[in-house]
Formats: sequence, structure tokens, C-alpha cells
Amino acid sequence: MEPTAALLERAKRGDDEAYRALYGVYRPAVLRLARSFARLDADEVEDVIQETFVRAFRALKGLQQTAAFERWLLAIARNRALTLDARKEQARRSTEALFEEVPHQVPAIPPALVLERESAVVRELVEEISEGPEKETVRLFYVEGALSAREIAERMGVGKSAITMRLERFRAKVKRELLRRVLAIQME
Amino acid sequence: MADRHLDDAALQALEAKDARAIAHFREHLALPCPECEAFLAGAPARLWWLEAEADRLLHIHGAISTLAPDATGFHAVRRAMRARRMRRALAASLAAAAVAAGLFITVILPRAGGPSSGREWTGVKGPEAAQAGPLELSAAVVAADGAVRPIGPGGGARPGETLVLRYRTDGAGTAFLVKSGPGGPVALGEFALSAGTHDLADSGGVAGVSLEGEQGELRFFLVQSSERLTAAGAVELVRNPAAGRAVRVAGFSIHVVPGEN
Repeated sequence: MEPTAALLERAKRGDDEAYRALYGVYRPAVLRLARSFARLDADEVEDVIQETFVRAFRALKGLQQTAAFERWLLAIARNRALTLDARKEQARRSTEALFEEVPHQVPAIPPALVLERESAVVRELVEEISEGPEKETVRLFYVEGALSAREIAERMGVGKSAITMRLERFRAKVKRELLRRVLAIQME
Repeated sequence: MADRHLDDAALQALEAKDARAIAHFREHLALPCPECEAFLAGAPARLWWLEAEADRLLHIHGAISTLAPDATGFHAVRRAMRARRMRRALAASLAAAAVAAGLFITVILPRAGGPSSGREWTGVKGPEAAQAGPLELSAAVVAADGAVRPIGPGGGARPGETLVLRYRTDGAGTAFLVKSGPGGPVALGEFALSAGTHDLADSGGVAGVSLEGEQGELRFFLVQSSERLTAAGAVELVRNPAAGRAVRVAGFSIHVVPGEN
């Protein structure tokens, strides 16, 4: 498979096949992210995916650090999903917030984090959770990955917001571990 | 220091590379901590890189199973990209197009940022109410210079601007768009709807409603019926929502404020 960096260079020149290849590589990740928002239905999940790639591809020429493409794309996707999710709650958001879809700058990422490419980290954190519904939710979504958060809510017979909260609590554990690793590197 | 948890001050110390703070939290975060995890779950905006990295770990490298391949999604992305290029090119000509007061124009408009949602009035009347799904309208406003901004229910717009409507529905069908202002309701056109969330459009592209010459409250209704509707019938349903027919109506109102162009 052609490396992402090469695909990005071609895509920046408007190469349609490069766009298609990037979409193929990264759609599953954007899909998983969007499906973690239990309030979003299947149509809205597809909206998130489409909007994410359209916005990313349109703004691609401005992306200076191609190495940051993955997290940049996922940040766009999360912003998009959060916006739709907030709309579903009819939460009031400012006009500015609605337009703040594409991060214009990608901050320097600690080198230690760039090395984080192992599902083992996720597995270890899952094992850290006590047996019970929370662990089952996380296992179904982040380890097995076949069900959306909405589908997990239906299967477990609990509210969609409960599933979202469980997944967010687990994401907080992941963030704790990542932050710890950054700090460990800084101490060396 | 022993009981110190993550908060804004701690984060500031870490960003300033305070050695004591780094040493403390390197140890402290090695074990589960509900307080620190609650802070991280709240996601301070400046930690978005940590959010993105967590997503990268979880969604790109984390899940084991593969999801079903997507056969058609890229085509939708490509279509949207091409459509937006066309919209940008045509946006500058909007002011000239939106000249006649109350004239319904079919123009191609940008929708950058997306419209804001509104459920000012979503009604279901008649015997099919139990089976009916959502029909919702939202909107964005295109200024004369082509700039787009979302507008919420009851939001303000200017006479030189153009309103773009977006609908969400769970089923295909047709619907009439009806505008109701000081002069009463008037049907603006019939549109084919498809399931999902889409800009209101016809064969000419995304539909935009010129606000030139308008003033005060304007209400827009998308009227869908299981029976064959006429424009006059749609207007009547807006005038008389309790007409008893199986009908779904989504509404959205704005206020046109003159003299601010």
C-alpha cells in the first residue's frame, strides 16, 4: 500500500485516486469515532463521515505537517460529531463554534506519543476496569468494534447517554495513560 | 503535593515544565484516578492534541475487528467536493440573482459550517401520525458577498441575503415549501426528499430563498402528505394545520431586519 505521506502529496495536487485511497484507509477510523456518539443515528454517522472528509480534503493544502494527518482528521471528525450531537440536544452553540470545524494549526506532538501504535495499550487499560457493565461496554465498542454505541445501548437495555458516558470515561483513562507517558519522557 | 489532582493550575504547571509537577503526575497518573480522569474527560480545549491522539489510538490502532467496507461513500464525498467548488464559484453572483422581492430562486449556495438546527414546529397530523418519523428543517443564510452563517429558529437576517434550508427525514417523498409572511402563505415549490439530512434542492441545485424586499417575521414550512398534494393544498394545510389529513409539517421562522446591509 502506498504510504500516507505520498498519498497526501498526490491529494494536495488534486489527484482523485489519492483522495479515494485516503478515504479507504481512514474511513473505518472516522466511522468508529462517529459511532461512539450514541445519540447519532446511522444517517448522521454517515453525515459525519462525509463532512469530515470533504472538509479535510478541501483544507488539505493548508496542512503543513503531513505526519499529523491522522490526528488532524480525527479532530475534524470529533468536532463534527460533537456539533451534530449538540444539535440533537438542542444545545445553544455560538455561530463561531459552528464554523470552528477544521483546526488550522496542529500543535507539536510529543515524540513519545507518536510511537503509540499498539492495541496492547488499549487492552491493558480495558483490563484495568473492574468486571461489570462498564467493562463490557468498552470491550464491545473498543475491542470487538462491531457494534455502534447506539447498538450497544439497545443490546444492553440501557440509555444511549449511559453508553456514551461509559465510553468517555474509558477515553479519559486512555488520555491519562498518554499524558503519563509524555511526562515520563520529559523526566528522562 | 501528594493529593494533588489534575486541574487547570496543574495543567499550567505541566505546560511550564515545572519539574515537581511533572515528577508528581508521572507517578500519580500511573494508577487510575477518578478525579484526574474526570478532569480529562472534561477535555480542556487546549488539550485537543491529547483528544486526537486518544482517538488515533482507539480508532486507528485499537479496534481489532474490521467493519464492512464502504462501497459508495467516497462517491458522495467526491460529489460534495465538486458541488462545493461550484457553489463557491457561483456565490459571488448571488446578490444579482436575488433581486425580486419574494421571488423563489434556485441557486447553488455554499453551506460551509452547516446550518444550525431548529425544531420550531414539527407537526404530525392525521391517522399516520404513529408511523411518521421526523421531518425537521434547519437553515443557513448566505450574504450578498457569499459569506455563509448558520441561523437558528427566530434568528435575524437581512433583505439582501438568501436563505438556504436543510431538511432531515427518514423517508423519501415529495414536499411543498411554503413561505408565510405578512401577506399570508404562498407555496414556493415542490421538492423531492430523500432519507437523511440534505439541503433542499431541485434539479437546478440547492434551493435558496431570496429575502430581498422582505421585512419582519417570515415562516417557512415543509409540508409532506401521504396523499397527493397541490400547491394550494399545501398552503391550506399551513393556514389550517388541523385539517385532519395525514400530513407532516416542519417549520422554521426568521426575522428579516431591514437597513443593516
